[in-house]
Amino acid sequence: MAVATRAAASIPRPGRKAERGRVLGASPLEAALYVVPAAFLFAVFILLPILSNIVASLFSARGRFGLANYIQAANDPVFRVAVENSLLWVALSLLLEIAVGFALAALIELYLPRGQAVFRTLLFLPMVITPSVIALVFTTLYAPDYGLLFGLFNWLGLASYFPALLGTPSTATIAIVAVNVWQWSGFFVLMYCVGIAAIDRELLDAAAIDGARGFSRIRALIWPLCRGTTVSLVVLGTIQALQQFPLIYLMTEGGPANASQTLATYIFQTGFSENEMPYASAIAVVLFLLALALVAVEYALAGGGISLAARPRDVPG
Amino acid sequence: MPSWLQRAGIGLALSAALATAAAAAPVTVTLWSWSPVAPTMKAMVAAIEKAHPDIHIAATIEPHTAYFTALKAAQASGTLPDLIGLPPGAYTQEYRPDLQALDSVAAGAWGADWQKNFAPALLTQARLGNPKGDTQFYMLPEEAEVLNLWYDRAAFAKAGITAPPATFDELVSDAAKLRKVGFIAFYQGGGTGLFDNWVFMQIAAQTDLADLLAAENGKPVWNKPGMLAAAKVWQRLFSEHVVQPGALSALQYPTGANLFAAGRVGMISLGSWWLQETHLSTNPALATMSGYGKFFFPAVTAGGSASPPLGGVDIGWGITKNAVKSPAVEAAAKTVFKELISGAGEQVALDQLNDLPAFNGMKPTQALPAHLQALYQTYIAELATAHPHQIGNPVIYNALAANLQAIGAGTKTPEAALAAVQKVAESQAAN
Repeated sequence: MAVATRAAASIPRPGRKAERGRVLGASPLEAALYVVPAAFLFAVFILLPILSNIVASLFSARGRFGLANYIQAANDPVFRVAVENSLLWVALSLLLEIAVGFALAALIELYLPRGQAVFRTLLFLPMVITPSVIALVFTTLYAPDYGLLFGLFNWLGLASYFPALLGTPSTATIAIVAVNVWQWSGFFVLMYCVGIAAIDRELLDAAAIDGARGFSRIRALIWPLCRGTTVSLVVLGTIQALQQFPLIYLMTEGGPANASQTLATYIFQTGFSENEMPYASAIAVVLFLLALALVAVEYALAGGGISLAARPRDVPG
Repeated sequence: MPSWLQRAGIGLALSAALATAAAAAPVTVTLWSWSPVAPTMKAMVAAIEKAHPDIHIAATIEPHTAYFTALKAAQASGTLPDLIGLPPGAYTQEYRPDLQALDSVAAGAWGADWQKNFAPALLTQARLGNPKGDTQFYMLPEEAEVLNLWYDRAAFAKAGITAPPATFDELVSDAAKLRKVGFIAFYQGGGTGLFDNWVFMQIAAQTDLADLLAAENGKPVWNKPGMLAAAKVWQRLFSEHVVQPGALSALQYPTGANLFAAGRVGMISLGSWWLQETHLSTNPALATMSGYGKFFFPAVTAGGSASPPLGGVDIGWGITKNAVKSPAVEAAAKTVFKELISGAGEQVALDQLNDLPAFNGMKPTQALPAHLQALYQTYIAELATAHPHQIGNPVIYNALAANLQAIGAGTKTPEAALAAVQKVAESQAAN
């Protein structure tokens, strides 16, 4: 409570008379003028393309208005695979990135006496590597016959057991998700490090006096206090997973046999390879709605809290 | 001298200098393509610019996928370059509204009877997909290609194989021998559908040529018995371990070609363009092709023959409507167009053995080693009788690739896979 009061007191408040009809000290007209540039850019570069895409999705290749593209999607088995894979991407990526990110962040922030910055930097490094390079490296790493992992299996006398991860429909998506997790976990670590570092030391000390130590301290105190960070990362991770294109395209092109196709790659295939732009627009609308729905659900489940730092009301009572 | 006279004199001199500079400045022609490979295109550009000092070519060469993505964006934004590289069929048709009709351009370049300079099959492919009644050309071919299988002679010798396989059973047993001595027996870049389709089409050319050619033109005949027979042979490539494990995620370029050049692969499906390695490599076995031999897909039935040659246009050029931005640019674009197909540009490409000439009478100027000369001459002869190798409709093309991959992965039977392709083809035909 004391923390909450301090936080509230720190926000400068104009006097009551001055406050009426004003936004952060500016008149409504001034406020509107401040908003206009951003609103204009948002309208031109975000809203307009979305609306024009929705309109394009309502015209068939022959120019007829209707829901033909959406009906086609409903009957398209590849579209179904793409939706399933997109959802699998979100679930798997989030689960693994949050688990790995939080575990490593807790280890670094709570148990490493020194060298924290070095570890954070090393873990963040994959984030600054371009996806095309990562895709090339991991494609070679996974490759049967000449890949690095195959070499290891061969050395152990297990060459005949080496799985063709990218060449097998049942494992292709999981193999690419693993690469995505490798790349993005460092970002999750960094965000959780910020979240943990922002926890009031007094709380940790008080918990320690009450006997909270080791895993129970992490489970009962640190993890709930990082709730705001988790919610933010879930939203960011969902959008990132749904948007993922380069790794999939460069590693499998959505194959084999469309097994690793996601909505993002299927939009590209139908729009750019098959010249079916109206159909691709319809798939893009579905992806947009799916992202909106997922984020809305996540936001509702999380009670609307999005923050990278621990908040006073997150303290377990 | 009065000062006003001095100023006028200086002004006149400056104007004259500027006018001279403007007259001397070369006209810039923009050109985009995915082929020929960048070093070859750079040399081609240099040769054309040397022959025409008044023309500057701003050439951009991108990998296949990146190129067509950029081209689509440029088309949508009305910023297509003056000249674009195109394969025949679906791609050319997609850009047809933005391309100039070339009959009068060709007549201006090579005379009224210009069509005699190209093999009829290549001209037929160049117009593939034109609307009924439209006899114009919107692209004309620069280079042609023939599809085939290549083998590494050293790998074969090490495995105790004395000649390329003549039957499918020999292909299976040779693959086992190659694997036994540590080679990738038959590298298949199944991750990119192009080479899946081409291997299948080479098999289908044996089992049902007539339906294959009809299917290439959009006729829904994928469920015919001959096509099914080809799909079953394709399945055996995987079930009998002829192709390498993980083939369905492997890339023909650059991985497969690099492994083949490095001596790790016994056999691979490529084509006449593999000869370009003679110019790109310093390895003697590649530089003279003495280490490599070619063959067609072996007979899949007892007493049958190997696949007939498939091939046709590799790359052609179209002049966009944007090139009419000024008479000077349009004239320069037409000059470059001619040089790319039958002049200094194509000569450079041929001297680097980039691929086979589409224009009659063009040939490499340098003396080739005997083995290489024999390979080249064989290709020229095969091209004259080659059957088309392009699927005109990109939706059918993708459906075939995905379903061939499903057969290879074992997730679909040949019957189910071809039924799926047939359904797509019927739907496209109905549209």
